Amino acid sequence: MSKVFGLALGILAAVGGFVDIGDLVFNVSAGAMFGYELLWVIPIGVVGIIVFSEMCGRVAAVSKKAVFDAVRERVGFKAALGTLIASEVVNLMTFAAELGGVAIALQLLSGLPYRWLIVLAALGLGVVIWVTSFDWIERIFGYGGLCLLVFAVAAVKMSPDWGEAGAGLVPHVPQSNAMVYAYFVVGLLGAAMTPYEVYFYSSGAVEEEWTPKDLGLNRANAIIGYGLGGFFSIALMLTGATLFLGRGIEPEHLGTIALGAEVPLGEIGLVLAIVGILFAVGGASIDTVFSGAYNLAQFCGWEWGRYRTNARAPRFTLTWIVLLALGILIVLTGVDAVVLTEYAVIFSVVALPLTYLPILLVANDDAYMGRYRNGRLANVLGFVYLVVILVVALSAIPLMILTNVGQG
Amino acid sequence: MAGRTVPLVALLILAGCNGGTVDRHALENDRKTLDSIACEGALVADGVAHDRTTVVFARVHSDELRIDASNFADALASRATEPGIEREVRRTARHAARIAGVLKRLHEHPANRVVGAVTERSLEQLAGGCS
Amino acid sequence: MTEIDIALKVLDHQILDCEGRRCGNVDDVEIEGGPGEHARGSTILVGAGWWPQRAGWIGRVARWLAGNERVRVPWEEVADVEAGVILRKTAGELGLGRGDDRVRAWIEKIPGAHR
Repeated sequence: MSKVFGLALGILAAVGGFVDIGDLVFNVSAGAMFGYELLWVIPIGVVGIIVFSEMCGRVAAVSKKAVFDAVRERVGFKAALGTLIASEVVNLMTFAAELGGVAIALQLLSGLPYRWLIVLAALGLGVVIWVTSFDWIERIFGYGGLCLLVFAVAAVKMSPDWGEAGAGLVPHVPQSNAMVYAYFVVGLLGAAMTPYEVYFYSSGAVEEEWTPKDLGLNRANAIIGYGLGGFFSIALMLTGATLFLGRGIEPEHLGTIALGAEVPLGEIGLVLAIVGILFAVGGASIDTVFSGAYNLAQFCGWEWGRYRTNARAPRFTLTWIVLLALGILIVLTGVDAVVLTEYAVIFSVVALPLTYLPILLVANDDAYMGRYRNGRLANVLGFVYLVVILVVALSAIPLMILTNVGQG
Repeated sequence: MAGRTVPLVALLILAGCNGGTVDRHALENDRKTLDSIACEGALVADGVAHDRTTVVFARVHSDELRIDASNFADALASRATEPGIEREVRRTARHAARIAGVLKRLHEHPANRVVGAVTERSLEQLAGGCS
Repeated sequence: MTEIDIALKVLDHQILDCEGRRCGNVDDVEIEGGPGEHARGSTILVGAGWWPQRAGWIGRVARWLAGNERVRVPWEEVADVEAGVILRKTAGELGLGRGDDRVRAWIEKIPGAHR
């Protein structure tokens, strides 16, 4: 039975984590701007997050340590403190963006004023987390998020040029607008490989008390879960390419994305799309707020865990409550959720090496991993992605500035 | 530390805005965005005309687009411009205001199929064609 | 006399009390023994109050946010260092985990805190 829950953990972390507001925004925008030309980035992002997650899961199963435990022990106090600060800032930005996304989705369904819905959404999430067991949270948000499959149906119904789409899966340089293209490559990879997913995933693995016997489950979780997420991303990009590119529409709102299902599938498509967005982004917001709490608690050595009662892990509980409140405040300033998303994704890319490198080191460390240390394949992939991540991290901010956040 | 941060901050500020002056490049971008808003509005209107959407969605989303267009109208009507393009900028401001006006009509009649069809045509015309 | 690699096995590791409760990380270690003598780990230092000596100004800022707690745990209280630093007594008996105790008092006032 716990193997099924184990797989469900992967589905929530994947659907809720992989397909979050960053993926929705970047994949559809990339399709709307460049058609099929950026499809090749998606599998690269998917493999990247699989490699990263698998290592984190393996470290958790073998050494019984979650990411931040391992980071602090391995890279030392000062570097870990720097990483903590960077990841808490990025986590909070991401959470605020997701919260804004939840409020927008609720507004598109209910018509109620946005500002009320921000508070309502946050309170709702808080109550859900406080009261509901995590198994049920995983089920509700994981399976609700699967409504996003409507985009796959919609994409097929709009008859994409499959030949061109196939060509788009082969990496190539663009014919024009190279800077904006590069910006989108960075954004798509950043949206695919967000650190909060691995913090959440590895902390969950420690709580589920994974052992080396669970390494197969770890790999299955990572591959199936993120593979599904990649499939959704492709559907989103195809939607952007078939519906928006030809009409010169630049997606600036979540509502725009929902049109991608409404036009080919009508009212039912629209509603499923908005519901799918609501649950995917809602699940992601829970992941991010917990990741923020996990990181701080692990760094400081506090009691932590979503399977602990709220009173047994008081400072951990207080942390996610405070993060929730800060998120509300940020969104109430009126900052546009989609714009905030773009900034959150870019900054998260810049901070990515700070988490990735320590995990790569720990996964290779005999003292922690014994015979479960990285094998040749894991190391080849691990080091290739280290290079990819460093290149992307260094170019993210310059590209953001030079392209005026993707406007050109 | 200060020696390195000040130029970086300055670079970020300069990159983010050129003092709010509208130059030709910005105007081109703004026009493209306005066309995008109009075409997206036409798509929403088409949904209303063919009963393909929910009333709530049509009402909420057309208002978001109206706000976008309206913000452009305000900004382009009042911002300083590069020499020589002021008339074009103000004309684009009026164009944005017209788009906002049509979207307002859609927002106020989100269940009316006739209004949907009419606003769709108007928005496509304002965009200079959408497909 | 057993030898332990302090940097590898002790420093920055999770501390668990005899009941398995997490009660801090090893924020620093005091080592006894002068030049030429055999070094002996004598005291584990726990709490944000010890951070500035590990991380300079950034540690001071973090300490300002996290509180100035400083607890000393004599080495004799350590039972084992294999899967984290495991203590012989409970956290309460050693003065650890007080932050959690203080916050618990408020959290418990909210209905459903023991779910």
